[in-house]
Amino acid sequence: MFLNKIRLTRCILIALSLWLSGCALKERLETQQPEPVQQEVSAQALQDRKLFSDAFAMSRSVDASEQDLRTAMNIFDQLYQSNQSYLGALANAGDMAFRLKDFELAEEKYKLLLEQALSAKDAQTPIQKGDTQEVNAPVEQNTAADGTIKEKFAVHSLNQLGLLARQNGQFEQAEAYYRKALALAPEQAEIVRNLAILLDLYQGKLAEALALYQQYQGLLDEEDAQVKDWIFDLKNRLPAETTNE
Amino acid sequence: MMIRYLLTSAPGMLIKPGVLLLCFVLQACQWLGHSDIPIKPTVTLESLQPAVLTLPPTSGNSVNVSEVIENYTRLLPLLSDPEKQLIVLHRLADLKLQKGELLMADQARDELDVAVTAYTGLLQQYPERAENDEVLYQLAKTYDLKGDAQRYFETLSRLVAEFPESEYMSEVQFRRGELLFSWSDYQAAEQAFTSVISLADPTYITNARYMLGWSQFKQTRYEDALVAFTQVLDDVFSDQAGQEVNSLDAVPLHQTTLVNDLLRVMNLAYGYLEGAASVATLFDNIGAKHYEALVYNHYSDWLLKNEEFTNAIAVYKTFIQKHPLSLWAPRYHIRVIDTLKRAKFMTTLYDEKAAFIRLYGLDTDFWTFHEGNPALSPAKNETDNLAFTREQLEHLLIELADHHYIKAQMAEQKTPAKTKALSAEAKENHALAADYNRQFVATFPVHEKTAKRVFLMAESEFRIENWLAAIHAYQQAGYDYPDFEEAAEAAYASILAFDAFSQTWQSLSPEQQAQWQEQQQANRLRFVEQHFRDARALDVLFIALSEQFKQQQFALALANAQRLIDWPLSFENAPMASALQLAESQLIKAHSLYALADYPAAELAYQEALQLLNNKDPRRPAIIENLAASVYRQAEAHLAADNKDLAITELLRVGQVAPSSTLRQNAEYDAANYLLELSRWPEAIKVLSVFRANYPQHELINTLPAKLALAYRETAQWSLAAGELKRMMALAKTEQEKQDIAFIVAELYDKAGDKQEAILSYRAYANQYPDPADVYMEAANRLGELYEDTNDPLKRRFWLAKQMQRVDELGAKADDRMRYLAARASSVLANDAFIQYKAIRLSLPLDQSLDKKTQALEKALKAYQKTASYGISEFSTEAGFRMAELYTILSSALMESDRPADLNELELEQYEILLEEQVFPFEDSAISIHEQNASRAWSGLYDQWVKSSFDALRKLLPGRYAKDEVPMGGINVLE
Repeated sequence: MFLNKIRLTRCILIALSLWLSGCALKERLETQQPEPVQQEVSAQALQDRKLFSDAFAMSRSVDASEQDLRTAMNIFDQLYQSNQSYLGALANAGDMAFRLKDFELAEEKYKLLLEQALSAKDAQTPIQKGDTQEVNAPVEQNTAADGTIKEKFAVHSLNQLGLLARQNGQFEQAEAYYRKALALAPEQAEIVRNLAILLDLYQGKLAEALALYQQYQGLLDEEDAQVKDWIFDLKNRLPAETTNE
Repeated sequence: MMIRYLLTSAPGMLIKPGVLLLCFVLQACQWLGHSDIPIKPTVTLESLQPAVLTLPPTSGNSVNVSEVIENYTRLLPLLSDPEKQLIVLHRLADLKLQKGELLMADQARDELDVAVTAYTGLLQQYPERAENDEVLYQLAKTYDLKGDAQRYFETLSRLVAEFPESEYMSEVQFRRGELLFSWSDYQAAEQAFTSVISLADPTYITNARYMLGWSQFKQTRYEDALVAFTQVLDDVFSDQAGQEVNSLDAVPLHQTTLVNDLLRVMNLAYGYLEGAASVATLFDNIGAKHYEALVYNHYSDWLLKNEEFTNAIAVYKTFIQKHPLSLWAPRYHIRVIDTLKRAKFMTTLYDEKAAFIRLYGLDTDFWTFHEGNPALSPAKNETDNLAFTREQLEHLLIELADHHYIKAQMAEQKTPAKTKALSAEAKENHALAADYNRQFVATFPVHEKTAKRVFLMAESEFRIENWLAAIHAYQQAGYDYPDFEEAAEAAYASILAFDAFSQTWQSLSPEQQAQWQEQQQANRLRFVEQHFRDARALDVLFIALSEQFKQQQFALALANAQRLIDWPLSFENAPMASALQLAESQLIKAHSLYALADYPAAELAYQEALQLLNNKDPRRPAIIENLAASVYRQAEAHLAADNKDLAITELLRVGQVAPSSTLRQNAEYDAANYLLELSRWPEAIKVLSVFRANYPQHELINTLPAKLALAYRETAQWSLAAGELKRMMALAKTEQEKQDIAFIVAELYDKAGDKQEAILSYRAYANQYPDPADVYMEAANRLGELYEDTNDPLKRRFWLAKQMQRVDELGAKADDRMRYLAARASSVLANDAFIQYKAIRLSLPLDQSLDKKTQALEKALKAYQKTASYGISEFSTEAGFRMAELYTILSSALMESDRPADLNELELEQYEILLEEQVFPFEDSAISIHEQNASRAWSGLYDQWVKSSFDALRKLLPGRYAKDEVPMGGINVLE
């Protein structure tokens, strides 16, 4: 009921905004929020967080339909457009496009996210391990340092860009993304795994892949059985001298 | 002929009627006989008498003589002094004589007797008295009065003898002479008169000379008589010395009769001598006299009165000969003429008139001598001799001119009409007429008839083809006399004369001809200027402007053509030029404008000319060409200014303005070219298409296909472009050209989507031209593709095989593109083999079907190997994938093959195991090939076939290939 109501409201809003030209929309949004006043900012922020939270929940729902994903993407886009500091909205918009297999759109959004995240990264502290939010987790007030969350956005976008590049056969580009992500978050397991697969299947760098698979296993709380088989297979295929650990 | 006597009235002094009659008879003879010999008057000398003696009255007064006598008679007795008594007596006798004179003789006879008695008494009474000469004189007079001639003469003679010194001697001798003359004692009379003359008494001398002449005349001493008479004349005209005398106007009345008589006798004398010659002789002898003219004149008049015309003329001529410069000479000359006329001596009449002109015309000695010329001589009504001469010139020049003019015309009429040349007679007379007219004009430059004379002179000069003279005269008549009625006529004639003159110019040098033509033109235009109201002005203007045009004087021709066109505006009631002239002038205007490079104006003018010209005018086509050229030239001007757009507009306008012109073709062709240059394709196509339709025979028609082909290509009208190229191909001169075009044709049909035509064209090309190989390959490739599109798989495969065959022939010479095409063709054929292979189901008996499938497998494998051999990754990866698939399919096929029906469960189980064992190597082969294919990704090759191999491997070897990347989890943080 609640979600439906939100959905309906947003649909109207979206319809309205689509009806208006982009420029007009931007103008409207700007005029809606003229010179920020303390009390008003807080109210608006609250409202935005609520909207973001609802959309996030909708998108991560198990039974989320393609239409749900699109609606969520529209909301995330709206939010990011209303406030360029809402990188979370941008990241989720990219995720929606990725899941909808609109890879070009996804790439575009991830690239923008990466750019935004890196530009404001200077004074940031390294991102903390395990910050990845669980699906459907409630929206939390970001109490962490601003720099940390921005690095998280960067790593997120780099991984996704790596996946997209690999799909497109741009293996070197993909490797560059992964490695950059790892530079920011060396212990991010998904990235290690993804880089390992890239080197293994698509670049024929089996030894390097083997090492990464092994690193990956180490990063996991519990060893991955499947990955263990991969390691075995690779070791068999590699000449003896290269398999030493 | 009345002869009056004042002092004597002797009977027989009258000319007898019989003599007069004789004279008439003689005149008739002369008139009939036409004799040139002067006929001497046959009047007898005896019959001739002096006409008059104008002696002054000796004494007397007008008082009553009777009263005086009475007074004297009363006085006489009172006188005691005898001397005084004698005086009174003498006086009384005189008075009585006087009285007697006054009374008629019969009545006075008694009175006279008294006087005779008185005088005789005195003489007897006083015989020695010194004054007796007077008494004798009175006595003689009294006898005279009494009519007693004998006593009268005796008394006079006594006086002469006794008183030789008497104061009465002159008179007395004179009276004696008279008496002797009347008694026909001419010799004695001559002596008496000579005595008188010797006394030189002015009262008597003239009369004495007169009578001397008579006396000599009576003695037939004519020469002497004439001399004597001239002496009389000397006296009479003494006070007119220095001027020529020809009349008696200045002669005192009392001498008139005498002079007349004297002249009459002189005339007679000439007659007895040698006529006119003797007059000349006379004056030769006595020297020239200022009254000679009078003498001659009188003589001639007298001769004329007697109708002695020949003699009269001789007299005039003699005078003229003697005195050519005399003021009277012209007058006498006219008399000659008048006389000839009167005598109807027409033969020489003309000569005399001509002679008059010759002698007294302008610039003759006559006028030089008189220091003037006819025109400056006194006005007409002055009776001066010069004025007279001038008048004569005035009418004689006209008369002679007209005389010759008429003669010339008559001569012209006599010559046959066909003969153009004038007869000598006509020529001669025209020449003379011209000369006389010219002389008139020269003599009377401001005469009222001068203009007409100039005109006539021009006409004659024209007739004798003295062109320049004629032209000049016509011009003079036409322009120099504003009031001349025929001025326009003359001016126009000058134009005609010029035309005639122009016929003679052929032999002249071009420069000379040009000079004349210039003058001729000036003459025409002068007519137009001055005689614009003349009905022919327009004609002349038209000729002038036509000529100017002919001479390429375009600016002038243009101005005058315009003038002719605008003629009705030039003055009130001005006529309009004829339709023909208007049309021609408009045409000349147009041509001139064109020549002057004013093409826009020329265009308009040509159009107007065409409207005016007759529809059947044979020049129309040429004019339409010019019209077209006018527009064309405008286009050229735009081109020169580098304005092609405007030039095109003009070039296309040629056809609109002059649709029938041949220039239109060039214009449209040019327009099309410029349209092409400006990439105005649709317009270019339109123009070129119309051009082709309209002028299929045009010499440049074969250049159209290339142009149209270009335009069609530029507008993506490929079929049409191809059609043009086919034309080009037909026109191509070299095989190479044909080949090039053939391929382009095919390409164009292909581009146009005309598959049938494209196939035909490519096929024709490919079959004919295996080289160059690259082009051949493209043709074969398109054939393959087109056959595919048109669902003709067999033919497609034929051309696919051709592609491979060609590249195989080339070997290393084939370039990437050729190898690509060959690889692609090969892949199609390999896929055919793949499908054939796949379709073979393994059925019982297995060995047969398996054998068949194996053969198909090998065939397909070879085909893919062939594809891969071209080294084109795109097709190599496919080939790789397909080869792997071939094994996978074989493996599956085996597993799915029909099981033998007669196997028991165990046997079937064993059979299955056997099958699996059989299948393993095929699966390994498939995996091996896929892995090989997938490993292409390591070098960056990741196409659909590589991906497909990865996909296949995921299934065939999941432990190695079913490895999934993971995306990042959702971020539940807004910012």
